[in-house]
Amino acid sequence: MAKPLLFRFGKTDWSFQLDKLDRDKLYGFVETEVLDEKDRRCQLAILGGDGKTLVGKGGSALQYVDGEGCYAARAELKPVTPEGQPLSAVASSFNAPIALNQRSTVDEYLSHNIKSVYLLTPPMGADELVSELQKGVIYTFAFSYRGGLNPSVGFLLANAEGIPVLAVGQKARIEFVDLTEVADPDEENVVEETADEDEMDFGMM
Amino acid sequence: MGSINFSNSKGRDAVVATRSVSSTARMAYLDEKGRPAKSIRVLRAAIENDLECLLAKSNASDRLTALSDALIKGDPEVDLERTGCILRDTSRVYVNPDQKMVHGVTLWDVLRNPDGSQKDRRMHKVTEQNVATETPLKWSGKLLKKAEVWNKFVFSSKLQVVHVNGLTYDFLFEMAKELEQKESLLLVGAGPKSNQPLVFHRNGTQYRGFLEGRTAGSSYCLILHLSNLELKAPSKEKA
Repeated sequence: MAKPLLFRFGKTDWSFQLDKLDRDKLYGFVETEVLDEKDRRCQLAILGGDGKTLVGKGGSALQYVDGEGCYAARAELKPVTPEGQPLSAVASSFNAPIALNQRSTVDEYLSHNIKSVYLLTPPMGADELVSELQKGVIYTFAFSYRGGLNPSVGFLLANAEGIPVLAVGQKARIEFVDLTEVADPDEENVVEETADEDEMDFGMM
Repeated sequence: MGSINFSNSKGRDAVVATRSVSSTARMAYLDEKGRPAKSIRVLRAAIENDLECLLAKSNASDRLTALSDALIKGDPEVDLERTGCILRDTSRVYVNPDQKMVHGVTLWDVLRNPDGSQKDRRMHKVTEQNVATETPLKWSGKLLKKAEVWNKFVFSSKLQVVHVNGLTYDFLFEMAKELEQKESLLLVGAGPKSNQPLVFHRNGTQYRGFLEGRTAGSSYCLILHLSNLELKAPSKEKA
């Protein structure tokens, strides 16, 4: 069984089981089959810059090089912000109970891009916490699934069916604009793509 | 900067700009001398040194055993000339079961149910972008109270809609004010009935759009929340 997530509500720690929610489980998924002229299945590969080196799955690797272009193990490198300030890793959120002492508003929640959602199974006796969530209370906290340098923002809330949910995302850079702030035509515009390009469920609404 | 062709509740339309609001993790790595380090992609093994190719080269009756012996005696999986070289200017291609590049392929979409069983199989359909065409996205009129809809969908991406001149500033400010006063999100869809998903570029992910407006004095903020996932539990039959 997957490791549970502990939330500290008041003075009590409650253990919730997580079940990741994704489109495959709700709507199914689409596999793309690529066939050659003889109807044989083809696979994706990478063609190198020399025009003849073909690289299959697992045939390449990422690595770091230092200022001189020599191989450098990531453990030997120092992570810093763009301003040069050192960054330190945070522990996994599964290592210790998450204190529920900060609430969020709906507007604040809507100001985040939510990347992962987990349906939570509450333990016996957590009725008070679940009841609060079902009334519309949203708790927020820093969250890191495995630990690392860039913790995400976690939200504990209940969906419209009253099921407790953990939503994990990042704050969006939303700014108010006035008349003088006309759009910059050179600014990059990125609409994030999901990893799978499933058929949209038209019955969603 | 992207663009989107919008209509408002009064039937007026304009092409305005969209701006990405995703915050990417900004960090860098420094080596022991304080110089910036960077990430590169290197070649481990070309396709000719993969398991399938090495097995295909063997004439032995038990190819796996023969390959195991070859790996113990030598290094057939390593190309000393190319292993470790940096991969640049790469392209994605398709290879057939003979590990040869193919140029003429047909794509099929196999639709599967949540349990993995096949539902349908059809020729791959290319989806074209539909937000910045000559026909503006109609004002659907479908307003969803923010307090009721915020926990029904997973808003995985957002775009901020911004003006490109003074006229479009008035156009968008009024839209933001209307939505803020109604405390609602507007359902944004493509097509004559505003019920088709939004596609921002060719073969891109299809999204449902929910437009939110906020104002502060003479400033405004129009956010197009994008979702392709409902926040609900799978039904027991499907899971």
